[in-house]
Amino acid sequence: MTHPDPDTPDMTGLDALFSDAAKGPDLAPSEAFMTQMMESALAHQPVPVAIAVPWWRQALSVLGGWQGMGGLVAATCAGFWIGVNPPDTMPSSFDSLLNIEAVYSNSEDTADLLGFGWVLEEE
Amino acid sequence: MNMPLDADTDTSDDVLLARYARGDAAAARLLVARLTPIVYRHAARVLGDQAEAQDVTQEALIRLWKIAPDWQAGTAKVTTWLFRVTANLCTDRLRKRRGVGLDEIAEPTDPTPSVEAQLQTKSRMDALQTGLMQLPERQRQAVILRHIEGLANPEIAQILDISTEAVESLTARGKRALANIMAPHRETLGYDDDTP
Repeated sequence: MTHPDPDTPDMTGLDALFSDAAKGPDLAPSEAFMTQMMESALAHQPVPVAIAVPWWRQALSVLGGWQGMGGLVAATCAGFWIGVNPPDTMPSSFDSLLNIEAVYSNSEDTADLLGFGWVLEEE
Repeated sequence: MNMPLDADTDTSDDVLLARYARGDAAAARLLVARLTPIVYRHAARVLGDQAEAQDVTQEALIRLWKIAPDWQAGTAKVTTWLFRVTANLCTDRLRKRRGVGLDEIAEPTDPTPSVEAQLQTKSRMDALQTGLMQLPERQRQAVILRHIEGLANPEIAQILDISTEAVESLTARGKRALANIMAPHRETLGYDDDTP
């Protein structure tokens, strides 16, 4: 191989050498060493610990977490309020307990409810 | 032992390390298969001694296993961290071995008398190793990381804890020095013959 300038190092040849070194398995660890490394890795591996979960956290999880719990509380409050102060058209819980049925008056003119307040005359 | 090849290239080192910390043995196997050759190869090239390289590899990986539960994913590449630990361990060993400053030119530690003699019986890689061993330690680390491991300068800067400009300077000077060391053996190395 000729080199034009003896003072200039051959970088191209060195790059080829680097390239061979990068892909070459000349420094591959032995199988015995790999086995030793595997044993070392397992020996130093943290052991998974079962963490005790409190009962309330488990219950919360069953109910769908904080979001599910929030919905449940809102529904409970609404139900309680309806029970305490029911709408007029609903029998109160107290009446229901005494087996008293609600009586609906029909005092209003049904025409007001069922039509336009006037009757079509048919021929 | 049938060591499986590191076929799972999709899973990042970060994820595997997290799985390792949770006790996943498969993750341990993959990490060992993936990282051991990298660390060992670098340590062997820097130290020029395979037995010492094994010690360094073992120590570096033990440190990784210990830090695994506290590893913050996304903060740093596992390999960068590992290269840094390896580089420091190698530096410590070379200091103990030589007892001289980092950038002083070291004598070749390989007992083989010359590159020429090695080339008679060994491969070009051995010659390269002998040449590398004649570089100052920091230049050697930088040249290996840049030209053999193929890392980018910013990553090498992180590993060696120096600026990117210092890396550029180290690699340039190291490569030039190595080329000069190898120059008398160009024909024996067969640069032209072996280069595709």
